Amino acid sequence: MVDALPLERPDLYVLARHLERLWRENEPMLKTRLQVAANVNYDVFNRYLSWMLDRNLVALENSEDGHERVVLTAKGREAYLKLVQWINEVIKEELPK
Amino acid sequence: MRRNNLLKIVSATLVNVALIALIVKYAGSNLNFLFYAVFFIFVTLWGLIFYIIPRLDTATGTPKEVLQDLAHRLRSARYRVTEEPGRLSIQITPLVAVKVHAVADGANSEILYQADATPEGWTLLVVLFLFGDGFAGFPMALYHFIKARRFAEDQLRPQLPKGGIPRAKVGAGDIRDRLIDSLSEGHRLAAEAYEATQSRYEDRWLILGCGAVFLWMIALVTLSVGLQDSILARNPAYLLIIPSAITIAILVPSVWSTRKWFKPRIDDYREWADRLRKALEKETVHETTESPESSAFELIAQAYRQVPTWLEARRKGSFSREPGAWMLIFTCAIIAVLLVMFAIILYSFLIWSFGLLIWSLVLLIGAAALIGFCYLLYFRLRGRANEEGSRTLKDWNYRLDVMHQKMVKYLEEL
Repeated sequence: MVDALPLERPDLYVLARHLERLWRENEPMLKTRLQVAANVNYDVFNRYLSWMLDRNLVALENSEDGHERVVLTAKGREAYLKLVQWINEVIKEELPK
Repeated sequence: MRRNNLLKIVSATLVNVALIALIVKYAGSNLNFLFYAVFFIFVTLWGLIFYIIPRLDTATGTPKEVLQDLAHRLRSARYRVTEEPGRLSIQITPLVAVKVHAVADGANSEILYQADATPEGWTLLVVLFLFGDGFAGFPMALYHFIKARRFAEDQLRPQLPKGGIPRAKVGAGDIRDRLIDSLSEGHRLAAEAYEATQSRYEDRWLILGCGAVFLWMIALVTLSVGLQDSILARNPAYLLIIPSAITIAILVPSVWSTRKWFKPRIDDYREWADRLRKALEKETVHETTESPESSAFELIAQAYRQVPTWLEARRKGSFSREPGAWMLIFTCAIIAVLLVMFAIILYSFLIWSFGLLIWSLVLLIGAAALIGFCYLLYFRLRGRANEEGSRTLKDWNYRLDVMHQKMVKYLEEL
């Protein structure tokens, strides 16, 4: 279970890093692997994980080997899609010559 | 063949026939008429190659949908694609590009293609045209058309949507599609900035090289004339060493400052282009392995902060951005120089008469008017470019701020 200080305002890019890694993995991911991929320390990782769990962006799964794994939920995928859509819209607008 | 293309070919042929008829009538006794006749034919064919827009096929969907879908497919195939209203511009080789047009045809779209050239390609074509009297550029123009046609037939036609554009699906595919689009656009802008700056850097080297030779010759002539009776003139080695030393003394700081200004920028643009290209390649092959880049999203967001700089660098290669205006300036400047030369010849070498003096003055006034026109045009181009630059920066930063606020607000409301 994640027990960390609550995150007041997540950094957009750090959050996107977590969501993107989970989206790419497309299956439950070991917490330590996700932490390394997101390039944050354990404390920060726990705070982000807790924030994402509270909002149902990710879920925790217990696997047979006893390790907890993180998986992206449909809501998490949709949130990441929205972020990607917005960044795509910026360049989609007509660029000056 | 489309009616428009047929009209273009017929009208070009008629103009050609009329010009050749005029040449035969007024210069018939001169053997040069044959040269001019062939020249006009080549120039017309040259123009037609880039002017006609052959039909490729029909695709399902509105022009906007078809072009968007096509742009995405081509980006996924790692082509450099620029979206413009009603058409796409695709770079297929470093010199050749193709424009793809979509025109509404009921519920479908008619797809047309047009041979085009990249800025480097246009530069080469213009050089061949100017120094080859129109003949040398023709095979190159024909090569552009053949490449464009082959690309349209082999690469474009199979990509055209038949039986409906697949609707955007919420899932992995859609996220990946959008990441590919964003990375590809970022890569295109960074690569264009790199190429434009590299090209300016090479132009600067050429100017410095020519300037050095010119300076050396001026110094040599001045010393030879000025030091005729001096002790230095007795040793010819001095006459070579002194001009060389003067040239080096002036050239070295110029080379140093040029290199200092250009090198970091070129390296920076290339580095960005490489980072985005690698991320794009990774995305297009659905690679999931860990990479040095933390995330594609973050890379895109960082890259977008650089976009105004890249647009500015691209814009500074203004010859390729507005070749028509620059060609006009170049042509007017050459004519003005010729007019001044004629005026001097008339005034100096011919038997003096009031009529010739008037003609000299007319030629000088004409030259002054042309130089004034060049200056005004250049001033206008520069003013417009500066205005565009500041507007771009403001507009782009506003877009990024709006996007960032939207994202933060969304996360807060989750």
